[in-house]
Amino acid sequence: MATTSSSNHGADRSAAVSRIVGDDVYARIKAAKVLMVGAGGIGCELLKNLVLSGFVNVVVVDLDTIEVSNLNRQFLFQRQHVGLPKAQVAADSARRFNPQANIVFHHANIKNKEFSQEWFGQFDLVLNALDNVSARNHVNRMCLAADVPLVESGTAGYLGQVTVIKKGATECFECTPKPPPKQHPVCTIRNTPSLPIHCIVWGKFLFNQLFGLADDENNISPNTADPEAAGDNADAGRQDVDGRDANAELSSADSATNNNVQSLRAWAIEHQYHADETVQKLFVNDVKTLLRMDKLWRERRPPVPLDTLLEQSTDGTNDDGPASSTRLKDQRVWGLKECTDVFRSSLSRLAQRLSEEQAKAAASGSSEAAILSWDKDDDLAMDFVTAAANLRMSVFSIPNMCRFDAKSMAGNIIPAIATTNAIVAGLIVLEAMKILRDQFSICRMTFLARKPNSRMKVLLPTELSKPNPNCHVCAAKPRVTVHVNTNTMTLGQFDEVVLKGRLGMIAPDMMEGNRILLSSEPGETDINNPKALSSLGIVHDTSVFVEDFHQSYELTIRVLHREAFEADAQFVVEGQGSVPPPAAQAPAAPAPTPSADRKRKAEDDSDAPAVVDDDDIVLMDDGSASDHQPAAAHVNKKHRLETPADDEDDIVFE
Amino acid sequence: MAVAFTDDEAQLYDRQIRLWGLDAQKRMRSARVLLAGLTGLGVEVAKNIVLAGIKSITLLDGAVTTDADLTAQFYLGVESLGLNVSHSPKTRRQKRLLVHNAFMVAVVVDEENLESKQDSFFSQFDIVCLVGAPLNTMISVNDACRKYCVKFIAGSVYGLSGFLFQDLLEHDYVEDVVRAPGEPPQVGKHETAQQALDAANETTASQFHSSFTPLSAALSVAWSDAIAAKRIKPAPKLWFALLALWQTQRQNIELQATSDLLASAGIPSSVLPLDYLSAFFQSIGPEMSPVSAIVGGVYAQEVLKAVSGKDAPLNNVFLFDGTDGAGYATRVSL
Ligand SMILES: [Zn+2]
Repeated sequence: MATTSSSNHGADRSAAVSRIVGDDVYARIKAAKVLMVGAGGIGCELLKNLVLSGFVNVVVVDLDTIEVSNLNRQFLFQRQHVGLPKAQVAADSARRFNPQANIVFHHANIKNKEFSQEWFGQFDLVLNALDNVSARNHVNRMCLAADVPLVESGTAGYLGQVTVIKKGATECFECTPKPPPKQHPVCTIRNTPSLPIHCIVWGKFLFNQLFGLADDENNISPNTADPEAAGDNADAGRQDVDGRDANAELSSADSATNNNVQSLRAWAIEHQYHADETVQKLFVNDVKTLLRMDKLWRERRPPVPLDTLLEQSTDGTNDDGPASSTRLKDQRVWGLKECTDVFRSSLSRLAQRLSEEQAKAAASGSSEAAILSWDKDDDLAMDFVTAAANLRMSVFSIPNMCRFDAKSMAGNIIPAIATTNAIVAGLIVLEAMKILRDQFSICRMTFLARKPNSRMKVLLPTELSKPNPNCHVCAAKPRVTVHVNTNTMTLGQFDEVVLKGRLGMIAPDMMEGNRILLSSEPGETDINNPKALSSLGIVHDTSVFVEDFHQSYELTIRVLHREAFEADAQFVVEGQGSVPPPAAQAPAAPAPTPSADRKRKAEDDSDAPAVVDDDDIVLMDDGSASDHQPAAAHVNKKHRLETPADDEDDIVFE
Repeated sequence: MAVAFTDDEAQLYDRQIRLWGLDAQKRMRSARVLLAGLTGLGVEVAKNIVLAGIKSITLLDGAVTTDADLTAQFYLGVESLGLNVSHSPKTRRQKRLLVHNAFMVAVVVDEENLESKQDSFFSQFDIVCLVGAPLNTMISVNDACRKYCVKFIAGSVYGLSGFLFQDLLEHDYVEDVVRAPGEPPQVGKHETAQQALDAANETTASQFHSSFTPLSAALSVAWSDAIAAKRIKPAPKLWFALLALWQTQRQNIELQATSDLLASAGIPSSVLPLDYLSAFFQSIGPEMSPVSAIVGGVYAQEVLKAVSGKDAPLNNVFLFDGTDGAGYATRVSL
């Protein structure tokens, strides 16, 4: 009897959907095999819409687990699901809307090798509900390779966007280069902070120097080679072992670089992470080093060492209760003494945690050193960064900031809300239905704006752009020109920051003529990694051929030698702006990056938002911390590059 | 009563507090909402505003679940219809909603029909939300709400299209505007993430006011004269299609796109092609889930703006036109 009623209702459901979309379209919906990448804010809404619209073959891939702060919008999840995989719970919840739906889930990274071109090829349609550019780039390439239509989407606060990507017919996701995130010069971070963000970035770097993946990209010590300070008393800071020029370090051999970088960690280990001594070093002695570089302070207000501040300070604490009706507990700004106390206690507890992780790693026979990963949702790590940043703000006479705001800034949170996600997920399904009808000509890119434009529109459909013939991804023979200093950039750096970091490859092989310079097979070409490009024969105007087998992506790169770059950049990809090293990236709102002609269209029609991203958007400043990674992780640099999308990219979902 | 946020609430609502600020969240937390009409659109609206953390929601719907509900209502499993088949008591739509209330929102279920309610019933709410109501019900409830100074919003989905109308009376709201150069920054007073994130482009909260009109007034616009006299910009086609639909409800006639219908509804033929109206009439039927999601998202965001007094409301009509995929916000009033 249950079977009878169930099948009857299946028929009833069919009748209702058919009546709106037509029998033929409904037949295609039922037959369609759909991949949904991401089961977060947009994904929960999208899966619901798909099932209710009659889709019955859906595969869901997501690598995240559920957190409390997801529950205000990811409605397929409830409190009892916190900690469980999103893909699994989303599939289980949505199945209840239609028990006949065949929803398969993978709790995995979409970049994994198991999700090959052939695997993508089984789908009629791929729907992205992603939260980071890196994974979007990857799915874009896989869909181009497998020639599967892709619906791309994103939200940021009240703004949203949906578009359709079809090989050969429309722009691909990478036809328009994304502008690199806003940067803060290394010297500003290390020597002359003037904004809260400079101190927040410094605080996160400090965390990595002390507990995390310490490298020269996040050096926080005074930089005595600051060009601005040139001509200062040569003795000024040279006594300080940490005070070397970042660029000089990059150009020197690895050993020297590491030597320098490890010095703060080495110093901390030597001093057993002693809280008072660390405060003294960072906020008194290092400040005095900076003060000796007196050219820096001719036009600037000089910093004041913390001991002096504490003597002058009468505030002690401005504590007036933990929370009140007018603000959250975290919205209270700590006093100077309170910051010092929180810094000391969080430092000690993090040091304790680090040693526990190291003991665990040693016990398990791991050869890799245990480190801590910064995570904005790790209260202790967030306490540490808030306190460290505020102490530095005090030293540099920058107004202090509460923990709530520090978290927005440090975690680069662009909040996501249920309503925007719901609207965007609805638009995705409408585009999906057009694709299933083979009506690409009426597919649209749609923007959700906050306010109506002069033509009264708040949802603005615009025609899809044609592919960019010079796209470094979807062109017939993709080519790109990269400017680097071939004498200083090593092959390993080229692999990491250019091929993987900038050009979005996962496992590139690189050839010059018949010579294999870089192999994706582990170990095969490791010997080349520390060598400068020029010593491997890559000099001015050398063309190299790069292939990512997994992405079925081939790219010819013309390398041009350039001695120097602006603003701490290590290289420039032509047509893509300058790209500073991953250090010192500033938080930024989701980058509006419409192609020139799309931008014109959008502006004709409105001041619509351009590209926005799903869910809370987090611009990572160093790629070492992911939201959903355990606070402690055993990683080395190579692993880091292969770990999840969230890990290495600038944009991460909260 | 001002009650401090618990750590739990702060954590749960963390992201949206960063978007619209704590003050807005607190006002939402004291909002009492009536939602009448648990269609696919109604369920979308209920989901979105319950997620945002209001004080209470009263779900009013006397209807029994139907097959069509299955295509647009995610809280209704097949088993709810199975109960009917096995002669169990008929399942009321709102029963299924209770399951998903994981929040501290009070949910009240009312199985009476909207039409049976006295005017004074609406006075207990801060905002009354109608979904799928016929024209005369929308007008009378709007008028009742006016009597008790209760904000009003109504909407429906028709096939691939949908609309909402709102009457927020005399509405005061706060909006973050970019701080004028030279104005001192509000140190440590960042209410939202946007404010905190961009120190160079800091915003300040400013007070605004918006005056609304009741639906009856919006419907009394004499379009032919007004357009001819250039006193009003023509609304999008869909608004006129709705006027034609409501005219058929008034006259209790069949849905037929004729020039007589336009004439009787006072719609200039220049603003509503008959083939467009004909297609609109044909599409009226079961709700499409994605359309409910789109209109329900806008609808719920308007409810949240109304009860939080944060951000400019769409005064007073939103239209989603499924034929071109555009969403319009316009003011229908003289
Ligand atoms: Zn392209």
